[in-house]
Amino acid sequence: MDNIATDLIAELETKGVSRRDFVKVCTMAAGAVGLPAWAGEKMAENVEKGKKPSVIWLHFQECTGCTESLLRTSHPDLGSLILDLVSIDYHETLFAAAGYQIEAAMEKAIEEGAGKFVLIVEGAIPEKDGGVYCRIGSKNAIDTLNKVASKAGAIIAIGSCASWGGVPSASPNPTAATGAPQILKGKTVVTLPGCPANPYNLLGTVLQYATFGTLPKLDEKGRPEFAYKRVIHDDCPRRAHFDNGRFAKAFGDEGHRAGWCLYQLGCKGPQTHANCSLLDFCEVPGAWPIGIGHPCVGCTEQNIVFNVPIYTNMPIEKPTAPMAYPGIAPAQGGVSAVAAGVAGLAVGAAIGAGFVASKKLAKGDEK
Amino acid sequence: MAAHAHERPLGGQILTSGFKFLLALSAVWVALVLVRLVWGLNGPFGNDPLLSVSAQSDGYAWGIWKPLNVVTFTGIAAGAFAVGLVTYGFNKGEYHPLIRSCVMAGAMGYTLGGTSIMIDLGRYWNLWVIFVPQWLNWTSVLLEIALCVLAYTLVLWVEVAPSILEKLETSANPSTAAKAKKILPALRKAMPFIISLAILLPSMHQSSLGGLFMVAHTKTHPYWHTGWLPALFLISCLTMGFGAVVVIENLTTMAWKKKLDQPLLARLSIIPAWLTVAYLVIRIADVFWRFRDPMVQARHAAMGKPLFYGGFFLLELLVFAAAAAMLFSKGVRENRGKLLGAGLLLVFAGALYRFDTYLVAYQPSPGWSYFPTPLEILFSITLGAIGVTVYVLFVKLFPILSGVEATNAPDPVGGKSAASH
Amino acid sequence: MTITRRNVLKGLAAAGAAAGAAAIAEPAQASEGKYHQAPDDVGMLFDSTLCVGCRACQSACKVRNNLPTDSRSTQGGVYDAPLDLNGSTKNIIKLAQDGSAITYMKMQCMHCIDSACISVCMAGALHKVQGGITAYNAATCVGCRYCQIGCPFNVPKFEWSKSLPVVEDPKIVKCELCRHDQRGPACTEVCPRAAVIYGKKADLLAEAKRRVKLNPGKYFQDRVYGETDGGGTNVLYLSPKDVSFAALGLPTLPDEPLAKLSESVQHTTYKWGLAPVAIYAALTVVQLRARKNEDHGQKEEK
Repeated sequence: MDNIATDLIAELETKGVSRRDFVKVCTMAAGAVGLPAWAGEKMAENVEKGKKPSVIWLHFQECTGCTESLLRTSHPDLGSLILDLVSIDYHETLFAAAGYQIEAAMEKAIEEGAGKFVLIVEGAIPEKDGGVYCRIGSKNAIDTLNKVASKAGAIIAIGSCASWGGVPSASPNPTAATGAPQILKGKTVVTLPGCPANPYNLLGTVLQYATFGTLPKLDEKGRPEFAYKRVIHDDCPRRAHFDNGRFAKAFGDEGHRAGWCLYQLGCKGPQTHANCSLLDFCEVPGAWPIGIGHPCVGCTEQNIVFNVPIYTNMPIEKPTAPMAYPGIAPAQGGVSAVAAGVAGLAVGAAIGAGFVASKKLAKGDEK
Repeated sequence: MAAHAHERPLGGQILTSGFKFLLALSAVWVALVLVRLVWGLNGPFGNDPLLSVSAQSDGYAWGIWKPLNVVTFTGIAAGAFAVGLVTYGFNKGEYHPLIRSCVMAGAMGYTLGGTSIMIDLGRYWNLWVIFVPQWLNWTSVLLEIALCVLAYTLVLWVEVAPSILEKLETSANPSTAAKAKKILPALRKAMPFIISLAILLPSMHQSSLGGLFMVAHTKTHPYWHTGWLPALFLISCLTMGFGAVVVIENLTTMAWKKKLDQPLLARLSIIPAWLTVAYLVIRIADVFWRFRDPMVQARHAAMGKPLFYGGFFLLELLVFAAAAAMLFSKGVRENRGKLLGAGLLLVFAGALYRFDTYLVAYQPSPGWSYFPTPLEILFSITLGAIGVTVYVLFVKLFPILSGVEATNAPDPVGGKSAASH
Repeated sequence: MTITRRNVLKGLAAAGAAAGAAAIAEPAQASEGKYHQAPDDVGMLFDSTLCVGCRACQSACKVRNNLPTDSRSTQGGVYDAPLDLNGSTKNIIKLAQDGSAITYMKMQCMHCIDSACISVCMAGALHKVQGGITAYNAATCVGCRYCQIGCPFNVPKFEWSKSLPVVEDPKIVKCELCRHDQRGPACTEVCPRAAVIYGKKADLLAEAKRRVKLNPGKYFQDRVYGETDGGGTNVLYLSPKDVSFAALGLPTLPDEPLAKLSESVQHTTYKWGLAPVAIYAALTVVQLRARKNEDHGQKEEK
């Protein structure tokens, strides 16, 4: 999919999009991922100069949901524009070619972009029995990954499957499916977990790399902090309901219909690192689990999704304050009836005995 | 020394059923201490009003541990101070026969109080820091109490030492007897210097135990908060001490066959009568004088609960007054039972005053309340039991009690009577 | 003194002990509780007319001081809901409600100029450091909790849930203006309405007075709490017109430091140790004289 730079603007104009609109799109993409607004300009420049980053996209044990999610990023016209910001030089789903033709395309892309291309991995990689449980073009997934990764400029694992193993790795994990970082030990792998991953997180990472040659700040699991530092609970639109103690108790009940917090239905929002509430899927507002009234299942977290039952709560590690305040002088300490009884008995016994002894001795002495 | 010809070991069987009961209680205390050490002062389950070993909290940081285990126990132990002051300070040698028993009770009372403090400390492993001069903060009343109490406990045991040494002098082991024979005269010679400490030190820390609350102006009810706290605590510790002497003498006489010198106690007991009057005069006058200050009135109004505070205040005054009234009557003083009653009233009055100052009058902020847990009360009871245990052991082994017959005293009747502490 | 191995070891031991002692105890100002305001003392100003009860300060304090949350299961959810300052809460927002009038109150250490807690602390664990901050050093703390009795604001809290030395290490917990962090207090940094601000005490007092002057009748009694209360505190408060400081939980204090009465009684009684020495001397003289008379009497008998 080569795009001749000089033809791009002409192409855009035929589609009814001016350069200004194009820069706007770039700015939006930049803004969505926390890059400064002027980065949008630079991105547009890069595109015009034909410096679109080359992307090689490998698929392994996956459902292609992440690709589908990326394809749903906009109205068809803008969508293809966004796809035009990067040069996808190998993609099994999107390419018309197949067989030897597509294999040749991959070899060419690797050669031409060696050391510079962005490798995007979608899907888990099985390790059992030498990795035979995923063979594409007669090559084991694990070998393909190692080979392509060795020449990549940046490696991004999109989706939970590529990040840590995802669905194929769910117990009992018969193929020993695992994520790209576990295969590519020692290499920096940006992971974008999610099932599917939010496509804007991918776009932001790739665009930053393309524009500035740097990767965003990553946490210890390789997740970009701009997207995965906070938990769903921190940015949840239903948070006010949680803080005020308004919970849906059953699907379809009054609270559920009123859009109340889904914590009591097992929402994993407090433990799940992701930015789903901030970036809509398919660019449809509210198109995410909590938005449609289903508790978050924690699809980015390896120890939650496919592990902890969907409707089971997990402990909240860093709770915050409820919408209730302590009074200036709250009642603290207390009296236990038993203790009062014991004390009363002891004191009473002591006083009584003393009184009796004193009286007896007094009488005795008078005699 | 002729003065101590009266004292004799009680002798007789030590492991009576009563003594065994006391030992059992002492074992319970050890168990409670272990719970505190492992799970903390609110252990074992955190602040549970029923199961915690103590209900101490941020609002009531000292619970009953300070007012009961430390201040009241040492108040009872102040018999040593009171009788010592009269015997040695005012040279009334006739009260010598009472000294050793008082000093023994004193040594135990202070040991118990000191032990309670050490277990109560939240960071007891740092206790050594109060011996590093450059770190000490001399404006702290509690520091003065800590150092003074530690020193005084040592002094009391040194005062008990002659009894032990006298027994060791007659030991079957010749080298032990020889050593005791050597130390005893030197110790007796040094006694005046030790006894002076034994009178000075308690006058310092017993008053300071009251002084602790001078800093808490706004948290202590105006009926109790005053600059006269040290003086009032000092006077009332003496009255408690005099009362305790009478009570302990009666208890030991009831428990074992021993002669009670009623006329001696009668002569002694006019002193607390006058001290109580002094206490009441200062107490009442001080309250009236201080209530002229509008800030005090405001605090009084803000703390409210007039029946609660007024009730306890009046009760205190009544008990002190009743004790004084009884003691001024010669008939009461010379009657064994009635004097015992007055003695008990003195102890109760002093204890009540201390409880009131530390707990009843103390309200850190509205909302806080405190009541000891059953285990906390048990801790104090079993702590007292240890004191009684050691006291009983020592009076049986060593020449401490006076009025014991020269011939072998018959086996002692049971142990702890209901009226003991 | 000859240089023998013993002497050298003795000297080293003494020096080591002194250095150890110096290392454990932090440098403090004069120990005789006469603290005065220094020009570069820092503090905070809390204007409760500006606070909206967002509790960003409460959360930020927990984060910067690495404090555990007070997890409480209530109203169906799990929250960090301390009722009061405690062993895991150095700063708290409380609510004072009078009918429909709501005022939020931020409570933390007041950093009194002449702190009562410092006056009563046995081995100087509580002491003043640079900036007039009332600081805590657990190394010389025995956990006697006298500071809890002494503080009129009930600020120092103890970690009752802990007990064992080393592994649990219970301490006294209170605000220290984030002196462990060069960024300074977290609460003042995150307050979205600048309801609580940090700076030099002198500047803050001037600012508080300026607000009172420019808005007559807006603030309670047109005065700043902490200017003279309890001898002056480095944390100042402004309260709205109809809400008394007492309603916010700030006690009515005399204008002199709380510890003054206690210190003056102590000082007078024990001035230069005269009284104790005199009493001791008198008692000893009485006894020695009595003994002399007794011996004399016995000699006469013989």
